[in-house]
Amino acid sequence: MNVAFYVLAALLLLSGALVAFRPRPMECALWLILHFFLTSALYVLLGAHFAAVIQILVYAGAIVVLFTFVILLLNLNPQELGGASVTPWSSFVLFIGSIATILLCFHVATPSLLKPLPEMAPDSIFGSVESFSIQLLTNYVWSFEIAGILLLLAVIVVGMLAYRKGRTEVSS
Amino acid sequence: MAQGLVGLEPVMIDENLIGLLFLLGKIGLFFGLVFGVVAPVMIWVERRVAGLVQDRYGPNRVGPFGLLQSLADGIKLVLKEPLMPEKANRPFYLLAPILSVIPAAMSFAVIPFGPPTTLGGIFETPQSLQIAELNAGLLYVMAITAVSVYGIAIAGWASNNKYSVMGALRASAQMISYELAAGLAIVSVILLSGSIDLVRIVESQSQMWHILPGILAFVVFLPAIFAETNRTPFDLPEAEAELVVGYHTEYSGIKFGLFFLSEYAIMTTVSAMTVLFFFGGWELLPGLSWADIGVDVNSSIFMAFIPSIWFAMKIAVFLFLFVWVRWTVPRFRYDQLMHLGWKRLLPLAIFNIVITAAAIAFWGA
Repeated sequence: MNVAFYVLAALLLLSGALVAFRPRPMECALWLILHFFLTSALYVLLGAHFAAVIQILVYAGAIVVLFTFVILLLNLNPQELGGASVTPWSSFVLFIGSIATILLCFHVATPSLLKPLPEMAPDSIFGSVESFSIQLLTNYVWSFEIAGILLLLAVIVVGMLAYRKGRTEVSS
Repeated sequence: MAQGLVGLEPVMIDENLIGLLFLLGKIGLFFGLVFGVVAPVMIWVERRVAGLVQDRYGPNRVGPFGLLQSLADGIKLVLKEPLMPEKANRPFYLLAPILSVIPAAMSFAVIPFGPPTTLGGIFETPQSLQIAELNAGLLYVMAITAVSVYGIAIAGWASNNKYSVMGALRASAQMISYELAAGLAIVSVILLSGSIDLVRIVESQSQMWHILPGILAFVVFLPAIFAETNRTPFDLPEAEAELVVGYHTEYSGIKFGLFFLSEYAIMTTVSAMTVLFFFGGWELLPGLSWADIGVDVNSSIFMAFIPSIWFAMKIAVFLFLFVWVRWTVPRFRYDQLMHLGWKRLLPLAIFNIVITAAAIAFWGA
């Protein structure tokens, strides 16, 4: 489990870095998909199977599809994207920044990292759909409902913006 | 790979060689059947039915009734010179057909093809006839079919051809739109069976198939799966009249063959899903179980697979429906496709969830 975790973590960091640094947006989107699959594998290691499947279904299956859709729709050519994203100056800043971040993370997280994880009962329903839904509809029902309303509002606002824009185009 | 990704628990490898052989046998049987038998035969059926519908002969020269035509085509595709556009993005161009076949193959992993059985006493406890027993099996299939769009999107983008990009663009928009409707239609199936475990969904249909209480869900689900598989009347990603053949315009040889194969493999998966969700899976008839007519799945290996044969026959009906619709119904226009998906099927699916939930709350499951 430990070995698997470190391999996955290394791959996660690598794919994350590639998302940020590859020049073509389409390639970045593909690395992002790999990133989501690896994250979902991490959830599996934690025994959270439901979260793992939902991660793929929602993020890899819907959100990045939307990204690729937009990228294909814009169909940018390399000239429009500007020069290379990694210049000597930016890579220097990134290097210092990431070192600082890693040190900060270690400083903050070390005490909790050293604590052993509680042992899970082999027949525990942790991470299953049942336990997830029970939590969602009891302890976290308000956050769940508020998130729902926020998303609904977002949908309505986007619809209104698109509608208004469409109308002005017709009138002009 | 599937195991690492979504935590499929291998059925029961208890250091038991028979268990391992059983698992390998299931994998071999399923993949051999789908990729080696169903897909080639379906391609032949498609062409013969097309011939029938258009009042001409289909392929009838290679082997009896032309049955070996798919084999001959396969050999031809493998032997063809691989061509690649000069300006294509090489790694992704080569990756796309693979990315299209992998989800098609992965989606079978959780489909149960028969009731749990001891295979005539080989096992002490009944073993499930599904490659991976996953309690969130339904969500897994949804997730895998959701990522199957990448094969198409990447193929279109990497080919560096405007028709291919158009096809990829249409495919991604279409898949997002119809996935929602399909997902919401399935919610009412979950409500009716009270589980997302595919085996339990089938078992809950022993008295009544979900097609009756879930008729509205079926009405939404059927067009949605046609759109998900990019089949006519929703085959806009490869609309021949406008886009040459869309996303796989630049593919030839075995790479084209892989796209072709995965289309038929996904078609098989979604047909199996339809049968599992609405037509009782391997259950004989509503209210009439296999035990009632003297088939005891635990008595012998032969008996264990009788329900599977019945299941396969039900799947075959839906596979034929796919072919039949393709050669009967003309293609939608793109705005009609979006209109149907967002303004008709989606509200209908939500309405269906509300009335199904209300009915279950009032009258019990």
